[in-house]
Amino acid sequence: MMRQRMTRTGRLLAWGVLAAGMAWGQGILITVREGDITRQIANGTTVEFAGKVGEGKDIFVELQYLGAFRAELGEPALTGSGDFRLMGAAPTPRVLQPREKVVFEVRFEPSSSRRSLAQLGLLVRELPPPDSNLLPGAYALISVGFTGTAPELKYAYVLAADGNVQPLADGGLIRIAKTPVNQATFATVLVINEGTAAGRLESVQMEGAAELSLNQVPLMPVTVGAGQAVQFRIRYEPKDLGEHAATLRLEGEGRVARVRVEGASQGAKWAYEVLPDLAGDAGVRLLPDGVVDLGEVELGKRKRVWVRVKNTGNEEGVVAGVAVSGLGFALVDPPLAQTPVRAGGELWFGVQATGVQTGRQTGRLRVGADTFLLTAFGFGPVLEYSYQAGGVVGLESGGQVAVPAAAIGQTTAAMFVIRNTGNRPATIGSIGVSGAGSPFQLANVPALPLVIEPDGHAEFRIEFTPKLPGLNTAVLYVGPAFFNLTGTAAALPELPGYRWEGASGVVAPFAQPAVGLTLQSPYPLTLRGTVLMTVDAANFGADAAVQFSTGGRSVSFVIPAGQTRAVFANGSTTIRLQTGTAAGRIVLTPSFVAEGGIDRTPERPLALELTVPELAPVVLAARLEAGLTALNVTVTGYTTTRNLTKVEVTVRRKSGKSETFSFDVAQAAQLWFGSAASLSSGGLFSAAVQIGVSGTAEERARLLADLEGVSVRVSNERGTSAEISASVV
Amino acid sequence: MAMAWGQVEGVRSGVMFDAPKKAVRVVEGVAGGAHLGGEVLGGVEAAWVSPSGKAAVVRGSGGWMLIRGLGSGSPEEQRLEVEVERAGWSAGGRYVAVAGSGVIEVWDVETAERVAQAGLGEGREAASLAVNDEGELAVAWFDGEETTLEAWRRGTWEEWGRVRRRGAAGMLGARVALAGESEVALIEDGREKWRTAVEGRGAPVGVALEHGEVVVGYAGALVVCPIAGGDARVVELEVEANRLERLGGGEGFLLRARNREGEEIWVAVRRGDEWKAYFVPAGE
Repeated sequence: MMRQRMTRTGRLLAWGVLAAGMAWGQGILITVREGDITRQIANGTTVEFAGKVGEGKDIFVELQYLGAFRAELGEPALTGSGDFRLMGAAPTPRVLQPREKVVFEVRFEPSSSRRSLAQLGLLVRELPPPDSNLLPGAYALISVGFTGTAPELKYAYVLAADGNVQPLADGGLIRIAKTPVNQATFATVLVINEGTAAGRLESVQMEGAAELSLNQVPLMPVTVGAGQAVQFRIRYEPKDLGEHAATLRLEGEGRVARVRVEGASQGAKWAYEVLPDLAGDAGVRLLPDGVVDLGEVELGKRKRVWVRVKNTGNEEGVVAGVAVSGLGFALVDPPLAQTPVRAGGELWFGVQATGVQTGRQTGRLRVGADTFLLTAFGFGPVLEYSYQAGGVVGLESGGQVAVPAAAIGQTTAAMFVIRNTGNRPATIGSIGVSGAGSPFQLANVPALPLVIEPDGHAEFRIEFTPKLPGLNTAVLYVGPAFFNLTGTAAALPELPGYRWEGASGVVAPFAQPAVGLTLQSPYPLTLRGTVLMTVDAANFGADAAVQFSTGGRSVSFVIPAGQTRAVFANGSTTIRLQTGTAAGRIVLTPSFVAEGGIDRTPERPLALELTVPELAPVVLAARLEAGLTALNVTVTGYTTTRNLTKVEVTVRRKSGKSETFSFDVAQAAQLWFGSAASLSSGGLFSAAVQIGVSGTAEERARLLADLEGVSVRVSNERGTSAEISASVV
Repeated sequence: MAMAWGQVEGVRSGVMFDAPKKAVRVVEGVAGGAHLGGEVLGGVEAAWVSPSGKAAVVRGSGGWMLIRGLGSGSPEEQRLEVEVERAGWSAGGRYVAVAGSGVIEVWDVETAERVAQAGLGEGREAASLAVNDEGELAVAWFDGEETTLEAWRRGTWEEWGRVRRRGAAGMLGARVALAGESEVALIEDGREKWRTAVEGRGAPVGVALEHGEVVVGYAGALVVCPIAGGDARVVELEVEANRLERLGGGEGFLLRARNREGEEIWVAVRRGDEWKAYFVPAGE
């Protein structure tokens, strides 16, 4: 009875004493099994079990009697946390035979992540064999301690903006605001195991806007120790202004948490347009890394477009600068560096392309952080020049063309070539050499205007025929291009001998003979010259009538290069001169000037000397006028001595009679030829004599009726003229 | 008869218009030894000098004028309302015919009066004007194919003759010579007296009746025909004649005047029985 009244605790204690006094090999073997894990533990050992909150887990405690007699197991008692409870009917009390065992099923179902403690205890004693006198053994307490643990994953996030840790739960929200476009902002997500067992984070996923992404996520799954935490980041990098959202999916310890992640960008947003002119409204939208195509640009010409940069964002922005690169590209009126542009504001600048090469021209445009490709297509002709004189020499406009040296009057040449390497036909309107009379002449020049197709060429000859010794220069014009022509020549040869042709020596007065001038051999250059006439009068005063047929006492001539005969101003190879009517010496002296103004006149030029001799007078005409009181005879003639002595007039009558009258005109002639007025007449004179008729009127009438005519002769100191007759007028 | 006195002086053989000097100048001396001398009238753009040398149709700064008393020191001017394109003097210099502005006028130099006026008509070219010392007018009209000689009689034109191709006419008294490129005809009192062929020498540059001869000027020759008819003789010239005009105040014809300095002046004169051509230097 007394044993039956013992309290349970007392029984357990008594059983424990017995058990403690037993050899373990003969005692109770305690085996704890959890799933596949089986552990043998000593009595009184506490075994830890990790579970999951809300999930049950079966633990089997097996007691096996290892003794040789019998073991009496008392009623089990499970004390401690309610997270542990015995399942089913307890297998004790019971008496175990040797090697027999009982199994207690304990359900561990954590109600929280806190550590829970429990103990399974029962009294046990060894019974002596039946029919023995042995007393049962003392009661011993068999106890198995349980420690229950459970993980508890919790989430939190920290925004870089404030660093505050914000709890995060399923269905929660992470909002990342005020993130500048194209900049990254991070939110750190903390996965904290606030439980007492290691937790397991299975996966982290993000679905939604690309601007939101996971960052620094550890390799999944990851075990988070109790009281520990892991973290990863959410990166928000907006590419443009706006709201962006995604869903963060966290799966840990069998539970899934979905969190909405929202990002909001802020700042300037740049929109670009390309417009053909400032007044245009219809621009072409341009995206960063896009192409600004300026189209076709003629070589050497410029073409521009305008770029409008508009801040379509929600915050003032700054255009750090505008720059352009690439051959032929330039900015027009670019903004200053660090130009602020308010939200909704805009700025303009131009991009200019100059045609510098045929084909595609590319460049880059940078506006702040955005870059664009610039393209243009250069078109037009590209002329390349060269000349060939032995080797081929390339030329730029303004270059020098050295034509091979030549002797004066001889010709050397170089071939000038124009090639069009462009992609449009080239038109050349003019090709020429500067200066009249240049030693450089062009030959085989194509018809102008000259059109050279792309990849085509044209050529012509540059001939150098020097007229001056030394360095000869000229300028060759090929459309707008020019080239300096140079060529050297040896010194001019001396003038070859020449001769006069035609009249020479003594010439008749009152004549118009022709003379000519001929070189003994051709001269390589054109010679220009003048024949100068000088007149030495034998008798007072030169005859003003002594002149060349072209007037005056000098006449120009030209002897073309390579020829010998002088061509005078009258276009003939001879020039007439008038010898006049006064005796004297006419001297013709030539001078020669080669092209270029080089005097080639010999030191003592061969002059042509013509002599008009002193001769007896010549009567050219006589005129008889008969009056009632006189016969007036007028004689026209010339006397080279510029003197007269007498005039003889023979009056002839129809009756056959004749009567000669001699007039001494020496004094009258001297008076006339000594006068200045006579100088314009040379030896020409008009002599008038009068023969008086006397008698009665009838006698005079008879005389005149009988008058047939007169014969006239005129004399000077050299002789008497031929007789010339005149009838009554 | 009794001998009296003798006098010696110089010789002048006329005057002519010298275009480069814009003057009517004296011809000093005799052809063959002559030269142009001083001016008798300056400021002249163009001129036809009368055979007498005492009058001229000139264009000065005031337009076309008839100048009388040339060389007298006190010339008289008669303004002409015609823009003269061509002029022809009578042999004695009494009358001058001028053509231009659509009309042909005949002026009496002595009275300075216009004695006749006729319209040029449409489509006809007055190739040559001829007038005699009675003031009678004859015109050689060229229509591109042939030349027709017409005389202006009592206010109407009378056809007197024709030659092929371009021609020219000269008049002396009642006789008119009409020359073509290959023929010469003499018309007297409106009737053709004779016609003779000449070797083709191009268009005649002038026709004159002188010393009983018809003198026709061609570029390279003078063709001389007796007025009475007979064989023509040809006088070859060394110069390309461009006119045949009586030398003002002298004998002979002006064959070639100069338009610019350096050009030659040529005249033709009769020496004895021969016509000869001489240049007349114009001085510096």
